[in-house]
Amino acid sequence: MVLALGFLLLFIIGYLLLDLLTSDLTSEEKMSLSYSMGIGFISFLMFMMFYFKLLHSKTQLIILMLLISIVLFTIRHMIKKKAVDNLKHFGSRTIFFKQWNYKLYLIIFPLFIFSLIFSYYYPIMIFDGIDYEVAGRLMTLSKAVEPENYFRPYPPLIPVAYSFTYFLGGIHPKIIFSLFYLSLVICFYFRLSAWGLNKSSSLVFTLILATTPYTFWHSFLGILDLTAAYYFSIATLFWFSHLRNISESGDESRINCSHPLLAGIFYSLSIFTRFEMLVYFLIPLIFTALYSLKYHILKNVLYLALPSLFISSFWFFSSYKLVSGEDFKIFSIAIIILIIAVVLLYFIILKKGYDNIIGFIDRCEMRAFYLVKVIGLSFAIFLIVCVFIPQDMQSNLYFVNQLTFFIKTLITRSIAFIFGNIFFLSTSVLIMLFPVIEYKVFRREYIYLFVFIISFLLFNIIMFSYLYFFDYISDSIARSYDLMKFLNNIVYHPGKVINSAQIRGLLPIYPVIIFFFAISRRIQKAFEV
Amino acid sequence: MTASFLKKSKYDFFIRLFLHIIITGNIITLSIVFLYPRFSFMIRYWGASEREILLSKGSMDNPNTERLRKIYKLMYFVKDNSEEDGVVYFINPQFSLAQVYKILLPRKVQFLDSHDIKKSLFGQKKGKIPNYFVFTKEDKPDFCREDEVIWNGSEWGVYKVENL
Repeated sequence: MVLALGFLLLFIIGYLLLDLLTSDLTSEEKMSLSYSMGIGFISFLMFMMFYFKLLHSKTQLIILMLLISIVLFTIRHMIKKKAVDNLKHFGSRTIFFKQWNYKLYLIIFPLFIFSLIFSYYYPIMIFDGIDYEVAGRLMTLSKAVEPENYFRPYPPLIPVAYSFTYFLGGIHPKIIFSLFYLSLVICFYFRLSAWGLNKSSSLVFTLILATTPYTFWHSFLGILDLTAAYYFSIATLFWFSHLRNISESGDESRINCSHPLLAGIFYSLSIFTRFEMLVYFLIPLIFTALYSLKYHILKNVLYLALPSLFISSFWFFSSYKLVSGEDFKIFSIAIIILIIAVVLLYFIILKKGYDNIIGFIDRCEMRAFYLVKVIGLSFAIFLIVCVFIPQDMQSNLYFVNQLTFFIKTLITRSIAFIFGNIFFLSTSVLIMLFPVIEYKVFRREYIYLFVFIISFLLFNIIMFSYLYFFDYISDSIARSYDLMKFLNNIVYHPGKVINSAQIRGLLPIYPVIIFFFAISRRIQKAFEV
Repeated sequence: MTASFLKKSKYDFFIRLFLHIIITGNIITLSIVFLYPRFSFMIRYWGASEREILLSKGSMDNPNTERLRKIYKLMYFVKDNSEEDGVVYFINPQFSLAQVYKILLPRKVQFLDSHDIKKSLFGQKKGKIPNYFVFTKEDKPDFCREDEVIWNGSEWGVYKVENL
């Protein structure tokens, strides 16, 4: 009962926050986002309260949530009243349930129910998941965040979200992932609708996402990757629609700032879930800076970067106490890179002036596809050459040895990447549609999204090759080279092979790839009656 | 160019068909790799407790490793032979703290080095809290009396000390 009340308040807080921050989302979309917004907000709040030892009982938590709801509702009411007085628009864009598509729910709800059943029945059995589960239980018992409660140098959203359910008397915390899955699918549908796709094409592409085996699997597995993927991919979709808004209006005063702000908040929540997201976050940050330069709208970069800087900084300072020295060094480097990136961008903008940079961006855009082709081709040739390096070339020389091992790691990481993706069927097969897309009529933001996807995939391979190479992560595949065993496991025991940190790190890009194909004008045309 | 490119073409049908094939393929993969193994496991273990599930081989899509099952078996053995308000000391453990806590909470747990037991225990809270030492035969501390140790088969033993 208390748990149900807690989740209800969480939804209300999420909805009210979205209502205050955004003005052009439909009510349905806000409803689909309210869960993730609510749980993100409450997790951050609970983490701070645990950190400062301010949370003592579940009654206190419920009263606090109730008070926050009332305050948010009052602020919303006041703003609405003011907007009505000034004859301005406020609130939701469309009438309730106008965009609901019963076919979507007919297919999604059985999957959601299966996910809920599995979440309820199966205890958390996966290695990483146990760490988060126990961290959440210890936080609940001690009502504090202490180094001895903390087993992984990972940001705390999932342990705290677990703690939220334990705190209110729940014993099956994995249901939070099933709700994330449902929210992701529904929100994805509304994002496609908002882009202008008709009901049937939105439905088809949403179903591709919903039935993607890997996404569905993670909705009851009990690890954080689906949550990080949720925040990152939804943030990217908002970021992308913001780029379109800029290019369509081209005038700062007419641009709605709610999308970059929402994207910034969701990116920051993804970083608050999984720290690697900070590295991936640099891609949209740099692109936004370049894009905003073109249109002289620089505050977008701040909207995108400030929530991330705020949440990451808080985590950075608290992690000083919580995580070990080596991990803290990695955090420090990541945070410093982010700050330097933001500062550098502004420095370049101020020093170089707009015109020089815009000229540079134009030249880059003209060559973007050629650049991607050249990089892709070089990468393919590099891999082929590496395959044919004879074993006896590996001399005792340290450098040659290390280089050969690095190449082997890169090859195995690429193989794991390719076969891992083949297993996910939808996303890999969708690439076959690429020749259909007429990219000569691409809009500018479409090129940015394309480069974003390529950059993300390359970042993933390079980052994990680096981590495996320097033994930050144990790489059994690179050591054993037993490819047949690997392929056999993919089909029969995917949990043994396709759940490596690298493949899990790809989860955020799947919704974006599906979105990329869905909004292609050529494919949209195929669905017109 | 844009206008001609956007004209309806005979390929439209194939694009739609292709996308529907992807969804069908996904549902088939989902059913074979995830839904069927999970449901068949649930039918086999209908009414099973969390303990039985954790000690089982797990569903085929995400099998429970032999190592984890061994650890859980030991933890349940310790759980059965200890009280909830006790402190459990593991001597030279080969597993992570989280794996131990998963089963033993709300008991307090501490890992000790066999060479430094006395030093590690120095300054611990004294009182009428039951303390349990968990160790292998090789690491059995000197202060444990053999006849009072409860052995889990021949591998691990639990020894209770009422007052430290």
